Amino acid sequence: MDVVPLAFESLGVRSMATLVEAEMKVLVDPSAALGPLRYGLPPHPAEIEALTAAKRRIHEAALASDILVITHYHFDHHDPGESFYGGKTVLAKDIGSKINKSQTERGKYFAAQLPKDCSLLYADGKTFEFGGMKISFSQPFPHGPAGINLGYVIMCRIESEGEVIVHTSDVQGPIEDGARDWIIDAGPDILVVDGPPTYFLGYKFSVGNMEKAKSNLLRIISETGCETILDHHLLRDLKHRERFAEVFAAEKAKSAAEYVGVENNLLEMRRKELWGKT
Amino acid sequence: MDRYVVLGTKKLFSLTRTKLRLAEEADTVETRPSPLPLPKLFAGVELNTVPDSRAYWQALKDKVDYTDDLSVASTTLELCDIIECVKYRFELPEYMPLINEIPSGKPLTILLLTPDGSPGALYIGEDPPPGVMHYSRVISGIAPLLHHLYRSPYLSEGTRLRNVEVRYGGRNLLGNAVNHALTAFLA
Repeated sequence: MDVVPLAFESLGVRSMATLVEAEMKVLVDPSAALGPLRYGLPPHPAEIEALTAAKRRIHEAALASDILVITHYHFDHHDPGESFYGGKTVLAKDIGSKINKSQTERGKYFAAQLPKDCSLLYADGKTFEFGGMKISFSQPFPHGPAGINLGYVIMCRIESEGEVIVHTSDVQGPIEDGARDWIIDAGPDILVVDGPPTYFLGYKFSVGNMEKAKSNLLRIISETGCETILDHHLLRDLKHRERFAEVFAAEKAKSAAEYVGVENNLLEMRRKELWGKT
Repeated sequence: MDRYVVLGTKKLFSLTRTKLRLAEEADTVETRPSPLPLPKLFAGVELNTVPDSRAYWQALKDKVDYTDDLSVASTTLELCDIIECVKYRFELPEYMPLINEIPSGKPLTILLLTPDGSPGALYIGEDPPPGVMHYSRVISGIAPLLHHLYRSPYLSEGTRLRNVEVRYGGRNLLGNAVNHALTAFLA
């Protein structure tokens, strides 16, 4: 299987859009967005340019894909305004249970926008087989630590030709031990994981949850030996290398940009510098 | 009442609730210091624990009067005090007060999120300008600073602050609320 990171923070936008190519093409979380305000500043023109390019890559990959996966209804993970759903199978987070109010509304709107020739299947805890390819989903896990009001996400495991890829969506590290155990049981060869939002330290994220996320990720890497693409929330923090030094030192953890062999382009993290405010 | 002050105070209520949750997740029971100085000063209420503080958060939410300057101002400062006094187990040291010695015998300038300050002024916010004393990275850091000011007869009398000047950069909702609160208590 080939894993192609299409849009991530290290590629200039908020996203975890990942194309998995095997006997079928599966595109996980086909969307991208920008942080509306960072350091009190709006997106820089360089970010808007990166978003345009990312949306184009996602659109083209989605048109060529057989299956689209929506792990939850935040706009950096799903795009109800897109036109690429016709003729596709969409495996998505169920809007009937383990979901908060805003995502229920967004999920309903998303379903209503889909064309008639799109097959929408709610996927929480289910397994789907397409020829020799097996796509399994976790039960919903909290979007970060239990008890916060960001709702729930589902993680996705794709198995083909004896190889396993796991996309964690926004489990933030993972912070929750249940999410960690699900990932270990899934036995990934390649793990696409979001990391915790350490850019919220001092505001609404705790050092305890950062340490828990780090320890859980180190345990996943140690127990599965997986190659790890660590990106998304964590790479919005200027100090992410320092805070997750043990993980990046494992040499199996890379940003999405590093995985595809290009330089990190961490635009949101550098927004103050881009606007000349440092 | 300025709309952005009201919005800032509401945002501070939300942030305080988040900090209480983080304190509970970190199994924090006692506040530091105990009791919280500002609720004791402004309302005569003694809060010694995180559960006390959570109950008082609800009481503040129920009683705050958004048409009354002093009600909003004292509520803002009490919320900041809750945040600062429950966070010692879940926050990195860099988000705690950065200096302990506050000059108490001469006029004091507090800079909130503004580079417009003279050397020796106390700065609250990220990215301090050169020459100032960087007191706190976070706006709720005003609470431990007020603990010092309210202990000094030169800088305060009752709930009034004197020989204190506040300058504000006017950049965000929480800053608006705290600037309004300090201004309301300046003599």
